[in-house]
Amino acid sequence: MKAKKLIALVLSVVMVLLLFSACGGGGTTSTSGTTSQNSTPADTSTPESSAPTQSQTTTDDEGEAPVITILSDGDNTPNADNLVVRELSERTNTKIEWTYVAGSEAEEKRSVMAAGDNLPDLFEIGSLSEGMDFMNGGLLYDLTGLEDKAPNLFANAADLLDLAPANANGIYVIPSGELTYADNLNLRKDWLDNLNMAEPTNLDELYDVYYAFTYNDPDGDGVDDTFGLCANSSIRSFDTIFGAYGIPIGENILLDGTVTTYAKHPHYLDAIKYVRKLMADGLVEPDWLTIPNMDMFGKLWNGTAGAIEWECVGPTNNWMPGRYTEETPPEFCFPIIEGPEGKHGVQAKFPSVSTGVAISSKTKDIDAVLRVLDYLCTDEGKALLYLGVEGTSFNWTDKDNYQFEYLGDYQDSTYQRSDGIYVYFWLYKTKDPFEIHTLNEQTQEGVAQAWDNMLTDEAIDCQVDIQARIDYGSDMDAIIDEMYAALLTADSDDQLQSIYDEHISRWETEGHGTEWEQEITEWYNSTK
Amino acid sequence: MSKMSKSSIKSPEKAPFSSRFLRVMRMDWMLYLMFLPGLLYILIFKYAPIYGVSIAFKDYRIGMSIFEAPFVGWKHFVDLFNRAAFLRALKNNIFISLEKLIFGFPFPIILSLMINEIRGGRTKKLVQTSVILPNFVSWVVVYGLFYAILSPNSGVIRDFANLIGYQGSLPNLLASPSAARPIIIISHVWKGAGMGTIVYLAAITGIDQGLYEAAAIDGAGRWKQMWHITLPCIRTTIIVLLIFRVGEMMYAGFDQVFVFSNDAIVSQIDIIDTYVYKLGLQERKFGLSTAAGLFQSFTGLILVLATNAIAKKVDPESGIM
Amino acid sequence: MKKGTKKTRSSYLSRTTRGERIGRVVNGFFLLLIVLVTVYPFWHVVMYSLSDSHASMSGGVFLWPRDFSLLSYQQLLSTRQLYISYRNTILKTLVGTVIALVITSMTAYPLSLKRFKGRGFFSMLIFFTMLFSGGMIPTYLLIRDLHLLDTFWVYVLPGAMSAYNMFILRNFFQSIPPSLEESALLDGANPFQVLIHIVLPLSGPALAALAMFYGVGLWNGYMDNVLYVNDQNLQLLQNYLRQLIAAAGAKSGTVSEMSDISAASRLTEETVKMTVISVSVIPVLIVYPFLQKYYTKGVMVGSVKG
Repeated sequence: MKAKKLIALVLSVVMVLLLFSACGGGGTTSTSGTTSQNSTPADTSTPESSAPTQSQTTTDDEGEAPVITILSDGDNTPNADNLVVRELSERTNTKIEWTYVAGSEAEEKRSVMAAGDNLPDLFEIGSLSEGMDFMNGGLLYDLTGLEDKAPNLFANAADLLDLAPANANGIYVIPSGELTYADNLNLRKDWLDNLNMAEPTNLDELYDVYYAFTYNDPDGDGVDDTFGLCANSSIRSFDTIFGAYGIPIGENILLDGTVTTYAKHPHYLDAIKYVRKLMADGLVEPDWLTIPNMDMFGKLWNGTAGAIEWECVGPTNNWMPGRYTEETPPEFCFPIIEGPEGKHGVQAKFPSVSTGVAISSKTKDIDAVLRVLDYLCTDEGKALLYLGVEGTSFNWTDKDNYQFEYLGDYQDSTYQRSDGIYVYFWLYKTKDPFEIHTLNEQTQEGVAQAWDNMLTDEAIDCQVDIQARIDYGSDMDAIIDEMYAALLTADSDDQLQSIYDEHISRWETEGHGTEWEQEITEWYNSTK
Repeated sequence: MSKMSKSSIKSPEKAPFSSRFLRVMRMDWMLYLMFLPGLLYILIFKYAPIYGVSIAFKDYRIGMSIFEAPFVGWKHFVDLFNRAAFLRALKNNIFISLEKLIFGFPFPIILSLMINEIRGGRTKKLVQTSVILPNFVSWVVVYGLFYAILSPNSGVIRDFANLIGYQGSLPNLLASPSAARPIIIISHVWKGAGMGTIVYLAAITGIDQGLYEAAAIDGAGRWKQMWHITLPCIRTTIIVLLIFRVGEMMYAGFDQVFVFSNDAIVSQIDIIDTYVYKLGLQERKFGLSTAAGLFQSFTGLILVLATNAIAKKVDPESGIM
Repeated sequence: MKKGTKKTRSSYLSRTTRGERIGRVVNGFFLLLIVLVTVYPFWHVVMYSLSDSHASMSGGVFLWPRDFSLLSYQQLLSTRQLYISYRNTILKTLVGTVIALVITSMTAYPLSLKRFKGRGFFSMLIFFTMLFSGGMIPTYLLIRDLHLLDTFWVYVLPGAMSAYNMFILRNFFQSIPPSLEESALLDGANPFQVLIHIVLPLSGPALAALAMFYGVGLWNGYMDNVLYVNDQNLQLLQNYLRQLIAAAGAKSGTVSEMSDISAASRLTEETVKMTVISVSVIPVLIVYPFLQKYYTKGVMVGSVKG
């Protein structure tokens, strides 16, 4: 009896163990990551993949065009087989397989591909730390000595290469040097004209304009339904106001020999008080704290707000004229506003060395990859990514001045983008962005003006890893953001100083701001 | 588990062991065969990658193998619990979860009982379909809708105030620290009730109709039938769902909080998941986020085991193990 | 069965007290309220999608379309990739749901039996996976080593069973009187036969609920596409649609990049978003009523037992 009971027990234990060992095998093969041997239990329960696609196996036969895999991101969905990729493959004698993911998931995608040693031949680098990690992990191709294979690429990046921390011992990441758009104050010129007002030049005049926009019926419809400006919860909505006080929002500043946050600028509370006055007098669209982004734009589109602080590319180019609901679309001007001390400006942007493009160390045909990348840095290549194929999707009307027209179906933006036009350039934006040539004249001027107007001297460009920033950056930023909201929603101006002090001291201790100040100041002094 | 050992002690009395064993094995090898695919699935797809939790104790960076990553012990946990913002998120997390549990858990039960009382088949179907609809609308859209209703400037409440002749200013509830949590709870109950209702309805439909007939003959009214038949019959389902819900205590709804949050109310509704997400934005922090995840899992496990034990004590038939 | 329900209904009616009648009215009223509150948001979405973007901009709630317009639908439905991704998603949902239901019931049934040795251990084993998971990277490595990357199977195999659903089904199985199974076993049926011929037919409502859960999960899932699949021909609907409306995502700092379909056009992102939601949810709403018929059947265990 007992023996039989024992046998039963042993049998069931063996059964369980068998299952375990079978799967333990599966576990170890998958974990070691070196052996590609497949665990058998998987086959018994799961049908083997019946439809493997070629994209995983890069066959590189002699005479045949090499397969180049590329990964980039953006917010479009091109067709699987499209004009731009076909044409690019043909022109560079390769077979391009371009994977496209939404911007918000790009980093996760790269992370898993990197961890799985599956990186595509060519891909974006999204941040400093990503470049460093990939380089340290031996995932990136060292391009030292290959400069002459991609002259256009290296011409763009020559002075940036050394600035990228990942390039300390070679050339692994090619920084883009892209300069993103700076903000403009986009003010309704037609409303100013209706009210017989001149463009404001200082904060007092700006207040008067916003006041008139709110209460003097600037659109002449006899209804009190307008506001001076629309805003959201980002401090960027008041960029020129902070700029007029000499504060480059979002940037590091130098204060008594210490590098610190813009929020410690001595005039920070003055700017806050100015904004509070605008709000208290009802000149700012009151939902600013909770309004979704698109609804904020909507206030401009339907003629509720007379101004928005944003890169002018939106108001005067991309949204023109389709988004505006009034019969005649609004006209905008970009006034520059001076503060009490005669300062003016907006948040500074710096050529990016923390983002760029890199090539996988696993790449089979480095010449072909560089050929493709280099081609994308030529005017011809950029035209392909932005406009498509000449004669098929667009024609130059004046090539020297970048005047062009889209042809037939390609005038429709949906059609355009599903055929791969205007979707792939995010891979690598050069210092000379082709995009700017596609904008209208006023917008081009506005963009140039905004770049001129940046508070570059006040701001300190720091595109290196500062340890305290890596560890506590999000905590620091969160405290500053909460402070901004608390200051603007405080009941009276008397409370401002105590709210400010409380948050700044939290920033210094909880947010480890003091630690960061020391570190970055040290770095700053070492660069001088 | 205790249940099983009890029954195996008791059962030998029924039949001599040898014949019982043979019969069981003859019949039951097929049960094990049947169980095999699910077991393999769990082992392969869930247990094989589970070594990933070790990242919580390592300084892992992309590009290195998880096994080679240097071991740092409890560093990430210490780091997390030294952050004031994390402790704030933990506190909020517990309160929001508790409130969601208290207000959100009974709701689908009540709803399914109410739906069960509907006579017309068509009406029943309509109601059943409508309650799951909010489930398909993403939180971003839900927020847009709340904004469209609650905006003090352009929302429905403004129109309503105008209608009753009130011209004064209205509070912005979406930016009010005191209203933040109630809004989170209400929107959670509203959006999540449908799926729970479906489970309870399935359980109710599975009840032997004969029980009701017998009760009706005995003169029990609808209330009594609901109280003495329906509820006891879906008791185990309720308990299983409750245990799962308690296990999720450390997850208070990332997507929801993420879209409803703004700088004025973040101090009230920041939860572990949103905080950890923000941590990762600055720099990919695999160690810290895995540590936070492991903390959430372990807390969940302890809570589940405790709830399960209590459930078994009160009612030996219930519980998940 | 129908006869049975009729009889009970008449017996209820004859006995209805005044309190019950009031209760029924109150119940109806509350449910009506709930229907309104739950249907409205979706109604809002559909009406918004059918409105002209300009007219929608003033915000507020939508009872009817404002300046009825099908522009966004025209734009969306004119792209080829939409149909490819629709096909993939339908296939994924169908195949995935079937696989999931089969594996889940095969796992849940043994666990529902008291005589199944090790059920406590196995339950614990499965329950654990609800709380602990290896995370994104080890899972990716596993998928890679199983050679599932860039295959259709990666959509259905890794999520073949959810522990949550398994426990719900096990719980339902447990409520089936064991006497039914015992009598079948005495007749010489094996467990597979018992499962197929006795247990599953009695579990219509639970299976319908599970099919719903699995189906919706599969229909809405997109991360598997993002992480494991590069091939555009295997793209899923939700991923395609997400990319369309992701303008508010990572790169929205520069509005120069407007989302695909609405770029430089009269359509606003908001309208596109509403259209996208409608396009992705309506198929689910078409299928759901078919599942519902399993709810109304009502199990007459007594008669089977008899």
